[in-house]
Amino acid sequence: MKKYVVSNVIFTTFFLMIILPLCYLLYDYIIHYGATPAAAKGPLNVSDVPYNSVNKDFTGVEEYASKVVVLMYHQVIPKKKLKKHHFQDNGELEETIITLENFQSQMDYLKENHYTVLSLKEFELFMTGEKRVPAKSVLLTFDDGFKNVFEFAYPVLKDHGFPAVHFLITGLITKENVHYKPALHQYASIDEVRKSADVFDYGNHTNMFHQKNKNDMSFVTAYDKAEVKEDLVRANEWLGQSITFAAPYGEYNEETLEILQELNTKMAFTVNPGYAEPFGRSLEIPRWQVFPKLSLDDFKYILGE
Amino acid sequence: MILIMTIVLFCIFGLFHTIYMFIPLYTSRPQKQNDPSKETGVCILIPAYNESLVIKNCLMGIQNVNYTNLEVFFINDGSIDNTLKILDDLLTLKKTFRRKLGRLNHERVNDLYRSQRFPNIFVIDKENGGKADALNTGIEFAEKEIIITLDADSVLEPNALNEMNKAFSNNKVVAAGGLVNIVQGYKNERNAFTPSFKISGLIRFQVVQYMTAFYLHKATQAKLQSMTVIAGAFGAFRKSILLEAKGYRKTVGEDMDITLRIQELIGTKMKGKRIAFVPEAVCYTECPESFKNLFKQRIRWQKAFVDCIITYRKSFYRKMNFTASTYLLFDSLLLGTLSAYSTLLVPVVILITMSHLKLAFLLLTISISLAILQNIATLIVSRRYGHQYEIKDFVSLLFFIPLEVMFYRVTGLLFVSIGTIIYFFDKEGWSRSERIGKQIVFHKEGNVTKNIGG
Repeated sequence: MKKYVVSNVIFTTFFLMIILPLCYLLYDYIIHYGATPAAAKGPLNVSDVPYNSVNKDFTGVEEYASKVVVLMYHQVIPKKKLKKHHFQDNGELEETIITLENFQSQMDYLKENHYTVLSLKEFELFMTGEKRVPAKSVLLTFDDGFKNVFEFAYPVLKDHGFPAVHFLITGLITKENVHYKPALHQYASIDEVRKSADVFDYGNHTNMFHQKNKNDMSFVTAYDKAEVKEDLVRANEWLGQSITFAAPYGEYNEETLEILQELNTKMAFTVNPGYAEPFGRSLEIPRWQVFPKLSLDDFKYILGE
Repeated sequence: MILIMTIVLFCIFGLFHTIYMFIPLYTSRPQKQNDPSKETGVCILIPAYNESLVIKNCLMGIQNVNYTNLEVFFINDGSIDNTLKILDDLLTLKKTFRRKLGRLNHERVNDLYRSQRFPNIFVIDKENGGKADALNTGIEFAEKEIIITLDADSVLEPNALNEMNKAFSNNKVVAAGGLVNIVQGYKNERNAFTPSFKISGLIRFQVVQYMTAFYLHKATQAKLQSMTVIAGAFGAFRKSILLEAKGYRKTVGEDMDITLRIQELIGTKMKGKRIAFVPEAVCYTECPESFKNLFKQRIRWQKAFVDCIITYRKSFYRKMNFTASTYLLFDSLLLGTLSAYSTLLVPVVILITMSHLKLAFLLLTISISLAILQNIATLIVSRRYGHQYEIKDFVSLLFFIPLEVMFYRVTGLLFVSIGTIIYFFDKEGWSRSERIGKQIVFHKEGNVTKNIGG
């Protein structure tokens, strides 16, 4: 019996040496599949991303706005590319998704009816009362940093010459470019973020805190102030320059506001419907979510017509 | 979804292959040599249908066997060539009479002959009825306790029966498979019949495959009591179990069929009995030398397999024990047959979609590593049973292994896939492989005497 021990031990060692690392790689692949394909390590290089500080001259406009509509979008996907997982159990589209076709017609409407789409800079100046903007002004915002927004909404916005604000979950922005796949829950890559900076100003949507705990509480309200602050700082560092924040799921509390003040955040947005007015609460700016079911008439209603 | 299935299948695959390596490594031990157990009566049945090319070889192997309590039956299954005449020339046949058991049905027997030169060799001349029918006829005439079935192109190693006999000294063993080596993988030298690797790639592939199948897979299955095929080329059974199983059934793969029937019996009436694998009991058989014939052989095997799965579909987990059913359904059916299609399709799908390249590469690396490790384990285990290559053969074997894994295994998958499809269109098909008739000269055993008839 004993005479085989040596060869058995040698073989077993050899086997483990080869198979274990391979198994680890496989395990690693499975674990990371579907989540993020490796987050971008390096921060967004500030010099690559000129701060989108368009500041148009609105003097001589007939009528000025007393309030501005802020629209909130998440995902924009063409009808053809919608998959089963984009729908809820009752057959309705997920609330965060609107079809590219709807988005296109909304943007066309804004263009045809001579709406002024504000840049973040113009909106900031409007909020502080330093600037007057035309009566029909809107601010477009996107949450989360989904790849489909860069893939489908970006060209439309660029076409119409509309700027927008995009709140990124910086920890989910990927290092490598991948093809768009409707079946996957994909976030944008760092390259896409850079290239789209001519349309988007980027905002802070936390680094990795866009999650909920067991009790269905957003991390932002569930964690200690210090931890939340650390995450927001990390996102700000990644973005390089960020003057604006949107709380995941719209959940925040007094502590969140304190953190924002400490971080010198100029503006923060909620998900509560309402209109932005100068000298209002700049850390709790209301936004209208554009739901998938919204008709063009509803859209006009939101715009205040 | 497809991805998850692939990964799950792959994990089962990895698990089975790991088991196949480690169980033989840690448990396979040659039987003790100092065991001169009493010779139980052995009866060798050799069905022969048009075997004029190889029958002489087979007879020579039998004459070299170191076993005295032995009867041999050549069953001429209505050959239309001169098989019977060759046997007559070699054995000097004379008509004789013997009572039959009368328990199994078979085609009409024309005559029973006995050799005048070797009185324990008999020849049954019967109407053609197929291999199963021929074997049943042989069982009817056999008077010894243990029945050995041998293909006409198989040649017994001189000590094979003694080793088989040792295994049967254990009362629990009701059937046993011997180790089948490929005769073309050996060379005749002046004083030895030794393993050699100076052969064509197609035969190399089969040599490596047989070695892995027997030294690793069959050894593992026997250990886990899940033997599903006792190779028809060299199998051993207690006559009582063959009668209990009502003899052989006429089918494409009568060897797998009888093994599964015995497994059913073990799972129901004969709990505690087992099927053994005896790697020391060696026989040499010929393998197809051309791609076409290899293809035919493998298609036939696969048809036999599918046929058995369908025939026994209701017995799994009910009549057969857990490990045997699991082995058959998961390893042979799921991994061996069903996943063959996906394995063949995966590269195509990946090339078309270009997604999961990394995963595909990773899985490929793992399977290649597993295959290579398995081949190494085969070499280690086979060496313990005296199957040892010379250094230069060993080196070329090492170089051949990756080739085998990447090229020949894929070919094997192709055979399996095609065979399964063909089964559903044509259940009959070719009945046997080509015969070559390579000479074997045993010199190694100095004490080999022509003990037959002595």
